[in-house]
Amino acid sequence: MKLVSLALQNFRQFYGEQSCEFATGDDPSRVVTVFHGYNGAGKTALLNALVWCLYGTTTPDFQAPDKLENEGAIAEAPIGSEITVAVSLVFDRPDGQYRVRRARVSVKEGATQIRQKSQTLDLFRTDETGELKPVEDNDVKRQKRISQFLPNTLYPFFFFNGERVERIANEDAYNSVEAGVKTLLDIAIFERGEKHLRTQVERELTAALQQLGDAELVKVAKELEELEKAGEVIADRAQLHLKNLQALSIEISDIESKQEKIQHLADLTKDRDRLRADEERNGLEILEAKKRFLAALSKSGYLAFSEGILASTETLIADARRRGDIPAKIKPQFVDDLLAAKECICGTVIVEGTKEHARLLSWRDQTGLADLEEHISSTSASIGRLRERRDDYREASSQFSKDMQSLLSSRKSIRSDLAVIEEKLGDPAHGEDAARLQETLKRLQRQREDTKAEIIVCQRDASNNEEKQAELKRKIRTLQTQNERAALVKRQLEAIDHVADALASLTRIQKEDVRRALDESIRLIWDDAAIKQYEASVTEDYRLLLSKQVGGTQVPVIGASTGEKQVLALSFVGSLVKKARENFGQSYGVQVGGYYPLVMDSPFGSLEDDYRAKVAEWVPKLADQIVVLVSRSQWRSEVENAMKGRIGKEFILELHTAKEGANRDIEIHGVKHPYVVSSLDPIEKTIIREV
Amino acid sequence: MPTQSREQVAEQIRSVLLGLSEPERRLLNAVLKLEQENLYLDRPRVKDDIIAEVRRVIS
Repeated sequence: MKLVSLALQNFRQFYGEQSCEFATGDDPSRVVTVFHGYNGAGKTALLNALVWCLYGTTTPDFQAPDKLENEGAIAEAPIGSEITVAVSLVFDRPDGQYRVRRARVSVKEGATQIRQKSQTLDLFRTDETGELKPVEDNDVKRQKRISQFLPNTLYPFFFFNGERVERIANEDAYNSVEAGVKTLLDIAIFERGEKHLRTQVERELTAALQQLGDAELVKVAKELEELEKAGEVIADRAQLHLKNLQALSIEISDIESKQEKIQHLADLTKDRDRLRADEERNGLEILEAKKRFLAALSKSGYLAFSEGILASTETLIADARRRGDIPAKIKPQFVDDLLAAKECICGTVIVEGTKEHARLLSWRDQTGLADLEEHISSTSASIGRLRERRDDYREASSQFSKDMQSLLSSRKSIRSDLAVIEEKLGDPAHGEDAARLQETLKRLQRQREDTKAEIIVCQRDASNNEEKQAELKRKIRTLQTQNERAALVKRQLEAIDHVADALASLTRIQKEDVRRALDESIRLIWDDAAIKQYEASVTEDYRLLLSKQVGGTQVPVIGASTGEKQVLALSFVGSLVKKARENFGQSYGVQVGGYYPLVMDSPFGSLEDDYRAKVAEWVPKLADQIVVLVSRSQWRSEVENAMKGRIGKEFILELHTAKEGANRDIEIHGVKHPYVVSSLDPIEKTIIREV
Repeated sequence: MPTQSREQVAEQIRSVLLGLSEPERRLLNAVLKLEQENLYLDRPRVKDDIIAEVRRVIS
């Protein structure tokens, strides 16, 4: 989707009809459209005009979302007359150009009161011949079509308030971020396909088999159906626990934020955060120590009890030497050469039947010992090496015991300190609110641990259930049937199983490809932008992670700043858009990937100068179309310098106010333009002017 | 971490698809098309459409 133009009619600050065209990347180096606007000029309104036009909703932080009609238009209209607020958007897609118009008609009932009367949604497509044709025959279908272009769950990735974009990097957002990434990058269609085949479709066909098959087949199909039902119950249960876990995490995080805001608890909450970071690091160190020990165990652990066999081998070798069995007196090749030459080195002829020939044969039998000697020689050398490895293993084992003792002792101490801090946080001396908060926190933490345990149980049950289902499916495949229709259903079930397996494999491949691409892109941007020695990465479930090296171990950064999270989040959405573009094309008979715009309201708001410059430099490289809504203070030299070579269109949201002496100018590329205008017109309004 | 090229990913995908018979590949494409059309829905009802495709392709 590429935004082409926008037209507004009486939408919030935008009185009457106004329009603008976006930079569409015809010149690929100029993909940025900038709107400069004073506070209250309508930057956020413009962003919401796009969202409302497409989905009939507004962003969560948009004030008074029901009052979209321009106040001036309401004031001017006679009572009883109609007022229309409308937004029209033209956008390009691979299959043509679309024009969407959402309009709401209201009736004026009082000086400032209006009653909403109707809302309409129109959608047209211009095909390759240039003909404009209506799409679908009703609003519901048209909305469905727009949602197919860009599902409404995804719009927060493309139309967002930059000052709140860090929410993407927050712990409690990971579920929606994961779902968003999967939808945008076409993983969801594979996952859903597999799920629907494995559950609903398979179950229906298994039920059909019960009506048709032979007695044994019917019995197995019935058992399978029961297991499938049980599997769905387990999956629902797991889903519920996961939701609960997320809700509990959010509640816990809220309470901890409240505690941090209580001034006299500030030091204690800082100590708690520090101890938690220590606990987390300790946990990682324990894992590392176990990993090191397991590696040593799998390589040389069997040698721990090898002394007996090594010693008896040495004794056997020593005995053989003592008896003179080794070293062998003669090499087998030497005897073979004499037999082949039929002549001794002394010139004696050796032919079959002579006593010399018989003696040589007897020697050759004894030369077998020379092979043994070679083995013994290499075994003797190995005994030394095996003893060294055994000693290394014993050393590793002893070190592991010491490390674990020390780490477990640290853990005990950290937990004990943490318990003291938590008790202090709940001390009634800090006030009833503080005590209540801590009490609630403890309860929620207990619930969270219980929920985690429930999830593990569900995972175990699901795994057992899957194993049993797989066993029954194998059995169904092997069972013969005389009934033709039953045989057909069996073939259909087999095909479903194969396709579901393939979808599962494709999901794994796509997920890893997407994760790696996002991870690489974000690391690159972060390494370039960040001033701290933090490392940015993307986890398997698409969580954004900042970590740092502490004592040789990589540990998560706790308490990253809002600015840091914003840089991380902006690089994440930029990387998403880049990957979607890379994937763009036809695969498996469906359209995958795509081109998406990034519309960012105040994206540089709370960033330090260094970060502003880097974000302004990086984002236009990642996305094909950028729309930036900024105030003068956000469009500072470092941002302007980074972006000016990439601007394709530039506008001023010229604010007209009745207040005297409010005139302000804005200087853009060395030229002054009206920014705020004192007007004789009592109606406050904003006019979109192209620079 | 070494970068896995698009060719490598394409090769992995190709290998999965080669493990399917021609009708199974057609079924896979049909399932993906249905899922994509209904992607915007939280709980899409695609069962009947998929079963119809199964019966059409494997008959």
